[in-house]
Amino acid sequence: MLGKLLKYEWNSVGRILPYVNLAILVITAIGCVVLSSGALNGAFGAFLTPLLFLFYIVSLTSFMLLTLLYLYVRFYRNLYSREGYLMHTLPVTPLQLFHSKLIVGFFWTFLNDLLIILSPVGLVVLADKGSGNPSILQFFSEDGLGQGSPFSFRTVFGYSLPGFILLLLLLTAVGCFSALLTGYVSILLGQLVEKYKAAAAVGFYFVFYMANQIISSISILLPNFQLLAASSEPDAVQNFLPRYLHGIFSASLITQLVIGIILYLVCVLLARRQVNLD
Amino acid sequence: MTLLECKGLTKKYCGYPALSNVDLQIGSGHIIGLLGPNGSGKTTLIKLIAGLLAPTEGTVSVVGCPIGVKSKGMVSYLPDYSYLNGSMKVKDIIRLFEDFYEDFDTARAYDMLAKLDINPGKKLKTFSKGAKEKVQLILVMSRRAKLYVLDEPIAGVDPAARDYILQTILSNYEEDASILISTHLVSDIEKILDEVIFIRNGSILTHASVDGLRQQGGRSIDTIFREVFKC
Repeated sequence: MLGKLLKYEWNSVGRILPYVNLAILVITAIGCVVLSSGALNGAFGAFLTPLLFLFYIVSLTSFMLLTLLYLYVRFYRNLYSREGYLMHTLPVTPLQLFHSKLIVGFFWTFLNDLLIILSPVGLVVLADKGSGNPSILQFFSEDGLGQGSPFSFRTVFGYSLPGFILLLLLLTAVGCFSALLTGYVSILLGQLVEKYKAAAAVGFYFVFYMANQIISSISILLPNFQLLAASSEPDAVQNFLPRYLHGIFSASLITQLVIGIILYLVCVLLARRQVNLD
Repeated sequence: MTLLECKGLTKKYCGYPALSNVDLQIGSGHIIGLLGPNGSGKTTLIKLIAGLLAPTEGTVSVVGCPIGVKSKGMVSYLPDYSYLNGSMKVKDIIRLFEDFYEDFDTARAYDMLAKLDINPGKKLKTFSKGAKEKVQLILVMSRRAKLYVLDEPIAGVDPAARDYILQTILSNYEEDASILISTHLVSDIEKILDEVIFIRNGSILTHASVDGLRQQGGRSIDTIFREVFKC
């Protein structure tokens, strides 16, 4: 039955979210055309560039929020409003309903986040190629900037490019999982309240979001305090940035993974309860 | 065979009882009217049977199974308003029912749609309120379920549509199945009922056969209803 639920969830979500992702691709393509056309050169370009950049950032952020918001609203509407009368009378378990939403939702948020990360990378690489003196691509290579320069991606950031990409993918996946579950657990907790369930869900969301931000900030700061304490060591300055980044990435990954697992377990516990559609 | 059994069933909302200590048994092969004024607990009882509410106390079982995946496979439920996704085409909703309910008869559903001249290729939101209700009824009655629970199926529709709905109910249920119909429009429905349950303030006042009640009082069920629930 989970397979069937996944098929229907996929078809329903597939009516909206591909267009959001298509919009990201269109904006990126427009950005590529503008950058390669040289339209931003000169005085007018200097005026227009910050505005276009602002528009680009706001658009990407909106697409990311839109995807998450759509998935939260769909979770609520499909399971706990009128459509819930159909979903909860199907001969399936509440956990199968929950997992169908989680799996499909995770796919779309992950794809969305990947496109949002790749979009500026694509623009930067294109701008670099068009500059006549490409240095960014060279910077990413194992040799770095060459000609005796110590600067390469590995020496500055402490990761090989494939290793960094893998880490980024892991961080994105864990972040999507945690973000999606923050909304789902809030909606499920809202169902425990006798009145104003939707309002309660919004309230719970803000509480969880703030708690996540505070925990994440503390967990990122802690390894950097250790780094500052070790700053008297001889190689501390030279290796500061790689160690700093390594500390941030590791802390983020572990924190979001732990938060995600806790949220998932709470969701499972709440989703297993018999529903109350008043 | 007992299809439905409720024991000491109680449901409270914010501490107030909507249903109090209800004991009920329904056998197979009957059409039962769940009759009571607005706010008497009809919808609450039906939602508990459909598994959409958790009882505060007591139990509900369908053919001996507690409310869960098995019971949902045996109960065909019609809510008192539209519960289908309006952006779906009728044929897609039929496919969904076909996929999830083993007892769904697709040919029967398409046959009923054709008789009503309803285009299955159209999205549900493009239909009128009456047509949407008919589509829902067709879906629910196209199942070969053990128990049909229909919440106010004839409320808010014109007399001609009421006749169609009652005819659809009568001609599509299996002989060994039972139908529980909640309504307060007694006169329209009493001719098809075998049993009635009178419910008031969350408690069952009477559960008796229609013929027995008529013979006992020498009056129609509609008249008895009006006397029992006189304001």
